[in-house]
Amino acid sequence: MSRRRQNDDEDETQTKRRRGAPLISDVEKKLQEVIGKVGEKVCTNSRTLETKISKSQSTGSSITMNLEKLTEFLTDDLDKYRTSIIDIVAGCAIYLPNRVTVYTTLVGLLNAKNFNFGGEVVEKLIAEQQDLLTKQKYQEAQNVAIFLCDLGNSGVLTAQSIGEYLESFISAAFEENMPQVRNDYYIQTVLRCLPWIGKELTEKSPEQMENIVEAVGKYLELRNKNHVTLLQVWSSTDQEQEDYLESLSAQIEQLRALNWTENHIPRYYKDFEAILADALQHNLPSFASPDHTSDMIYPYPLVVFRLFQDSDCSSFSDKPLPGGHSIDRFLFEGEISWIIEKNQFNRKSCARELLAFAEENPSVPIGFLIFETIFGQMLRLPHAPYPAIFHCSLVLELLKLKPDDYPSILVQTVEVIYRRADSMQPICLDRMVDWFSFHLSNFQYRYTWPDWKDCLTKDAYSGSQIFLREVIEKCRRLGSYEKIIAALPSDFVKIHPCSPDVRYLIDEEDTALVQRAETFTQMFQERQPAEAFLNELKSAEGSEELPYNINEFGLFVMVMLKMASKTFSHNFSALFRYQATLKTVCDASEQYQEKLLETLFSCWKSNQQMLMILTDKLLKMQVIDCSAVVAWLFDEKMWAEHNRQWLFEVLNQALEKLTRQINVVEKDIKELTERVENKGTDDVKEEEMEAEEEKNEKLKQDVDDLENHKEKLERMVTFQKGLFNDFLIAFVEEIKIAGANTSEMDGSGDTAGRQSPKFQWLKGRFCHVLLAHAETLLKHSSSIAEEVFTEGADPSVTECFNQFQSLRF
Amino acid sequence: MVFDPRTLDQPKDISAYRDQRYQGSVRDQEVALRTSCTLYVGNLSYYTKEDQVYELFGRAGDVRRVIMGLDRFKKTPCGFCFVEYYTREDAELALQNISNTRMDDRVIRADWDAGFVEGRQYGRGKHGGQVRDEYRKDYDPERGGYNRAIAQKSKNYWENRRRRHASVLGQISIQSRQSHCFYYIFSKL
Repeated sequence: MSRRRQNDDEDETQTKRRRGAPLISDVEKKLQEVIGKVGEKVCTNSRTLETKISKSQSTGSSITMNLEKLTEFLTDDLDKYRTSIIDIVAGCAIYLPNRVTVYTTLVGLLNAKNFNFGGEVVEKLIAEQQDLLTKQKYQEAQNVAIFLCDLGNSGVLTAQSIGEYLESFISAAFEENMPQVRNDYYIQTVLRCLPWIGKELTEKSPEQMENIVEAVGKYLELRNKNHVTLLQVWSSTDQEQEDYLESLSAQIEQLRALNWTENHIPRYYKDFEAILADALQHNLPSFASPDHTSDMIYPYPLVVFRLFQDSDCSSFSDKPLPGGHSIDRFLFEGEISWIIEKNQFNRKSCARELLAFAEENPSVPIGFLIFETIFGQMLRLPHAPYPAIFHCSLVLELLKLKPDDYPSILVQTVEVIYRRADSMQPICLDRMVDWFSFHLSNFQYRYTWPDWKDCLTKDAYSGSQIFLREVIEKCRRLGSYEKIIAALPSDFVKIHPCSPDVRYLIDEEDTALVQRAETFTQMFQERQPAEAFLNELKSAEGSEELPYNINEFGLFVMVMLKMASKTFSHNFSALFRYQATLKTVCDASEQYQEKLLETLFSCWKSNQQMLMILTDKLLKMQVIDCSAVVAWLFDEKMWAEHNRQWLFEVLNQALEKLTRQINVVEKDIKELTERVENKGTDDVKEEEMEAEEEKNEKLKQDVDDLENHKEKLERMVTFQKGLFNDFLIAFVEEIKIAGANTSEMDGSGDTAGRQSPKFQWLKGRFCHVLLAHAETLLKHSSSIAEEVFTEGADPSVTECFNQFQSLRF
Repeated sequence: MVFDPRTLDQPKDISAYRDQRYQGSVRDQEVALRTSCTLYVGNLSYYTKEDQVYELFGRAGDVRRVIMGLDRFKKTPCGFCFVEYYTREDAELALQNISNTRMDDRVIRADWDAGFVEGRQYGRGKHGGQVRDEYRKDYDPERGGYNRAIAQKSKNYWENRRRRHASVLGQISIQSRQSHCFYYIFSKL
């Protein structure tokens, strides 16, 4: 009965809530659609707007016409639906930066008809900007700044006040004792705004313009640029990978010298100059930077990413590629990023809009710039802005829509990546492996493989060979061993993956061992319970420390893995069935965990996917803990595997999981703290039925919980810190040995020591780990600096760490 | 709250397909579909293996488990599976980015599933496999050739024909029967 009752109650609350929820009216919905889509070339709401735009008209004029009609349409409703319209326009300003000029023109036109409207939009945007900054949505807040500046072009704001607004950003950047990344953000915002408003400012408020440019120059002089090397995708290329801010500043300077003539911002307000010139203008208030607190995470610094030179695309198109240093290249890149940002949840519309953008700019080989931007995002350090799988499927989608042109651009891209693989950072190489294997699995693993024959004779630690080998490995996992072998040329035998079968190695001559294995096999077949195995494993001369026979435990695991080897499902059900056995034994001593992992490795050495997934499962089942995994991976016995990708994937996954657990506890603490603190205000809202006592009880419970959680967090953080320190010490030691090694016996080839590919690779992997866990490691960086980088550490590794530390400054 | 115009292009709603054999109320099903972390994946080759599914769908996030769809009678893969994630976000990412890409050179399709229940791993068609394999008209070597109904029909057709011929041929001399057989075989090639 109680169950039904509950259901009924639920029903009621649901319907209540539904009734109570503010329903969006049809008008509002229509407004959203009409305003949200006005910037699109073919207006889908032509019926509402009563505009049938004939296809013969050029895009520019069709948007102009859209704007005209929309203004007319909105003017009538401006008073009735004011707040809704302002909300929608503000939303478009924040989230549709690629249409900034469309919406600034619209606001300008409406402002010309209704002076207060413009002021209210500006007010709203300023409030939103503050809100976005406190929520740490830096990209969106920057979009608002650009929008506000562009309102100066559409007659809404005075140039003078915009100049002051930008100056207030500059003074925010010069505040003392602030992290450099914060200041960088403010300077970058000013620079990003200038292409839109620079001309206007130079004409109407030249003094301020001078001040801004001078201040930016001064800022850049004083700035620390330690991070640049660490964030570069390649250690050496024919194209410079400069600091983004510095490069952008140089572009802006150049643009200013050309009196701000760029040729691609579509300035729709120019079509309405007469109307807009008569409008009354508002003053933009200065910008007040929100207070800095220590837990704020600002955007990381960037480096410029360039994949193509003009020579790369000259064979495909006669249109010239804007130079690597030209402002056009920057603006196109920015615009493409905006389109991707807007469509990050829909690869299909993303590809469509990118192609539409390419068509709008027929004089430039936009295809190359689209791929350059996508790969720049994929390879951005420390983190790519979107999940890798999105970029992967976006590339597929682009090829699908443009099967004639884009495949050849992609081939060119892959060629550049392969050509530069030897100097690519391992973290980036991994991302390329993941992408390319996914890509090939959609094209039957067909590629001009023989072109890559040259890397076979290179060092086993050279980037190009590692790239090829790992791509093949991942293709094997996505398809099958037979398929990928069939797709490869015959002389690739050297780097063929091993057949991914279980390895069951038992010394046939050791009859005692064979017999024990048979006993276990039989027990498994009889489906004996977990306890039976525990008894069987109990060692006769068992000490307190090692109550179970460690070798027999290894044998037990081996037999189990062998019997469950058919699929992952078989493995999982075996692990769950014998979880009690495994956990009891492994809890007894770390040595058993070590044995378990060693046995796992010896059985599945040739199937890295199995190693990864089973380790992960064992961690989740809490049979083994993170520190055991890390110790295992960095044990000397595993050094030979350190040029493989899987090992670092397992490592980073394990560390990542720990961080995620800590984040969950942190979030709980935050919620509990809020609950405890807001108890007073909450009471009023709560139902009167609830007894005072019960409330107190609840509060007490919360306080206790909070206490427990805090303790737990402290424990976890200490554990994490210790784990990172131990592991980094081990890794630094390994790198040091690799660097000092002058013999050729270890496969490092002719070059010894620090020049050897092995040393370089390991150093790169070290950077990989730092970057992959940047947020956590930056938090603990002082303790790491003290404990890990003692005098003995290799200076070039210490250098990496110092560069890493400057990511936060 | 400002309006986010990006939502105009993204119908957040789920597809119109509903499992007709769902055990529970219509509303339960709607809620389950909107909160579940499980995807149904279809149009797989019968030869696609579980580890391939793990590898591909693992690209979108941590996979809790994969359940391969099996032929009810033969207990062999019959061209679909369920992929369960730990979080809704990961499942969403997979739905957005892996659905409609290729696995084993077939365009696979994913959709929300209300959650795996024991028994659902089996094909529901009359012949043990998936129902859709009974309506399919084309020849699909990775899904057992022609659909079972056609295969059955043509088998019956040839059998009847053989029988009919046999009775007619009974009256013809052995020699000519042999030549007739040859003719009969080659004419059908």
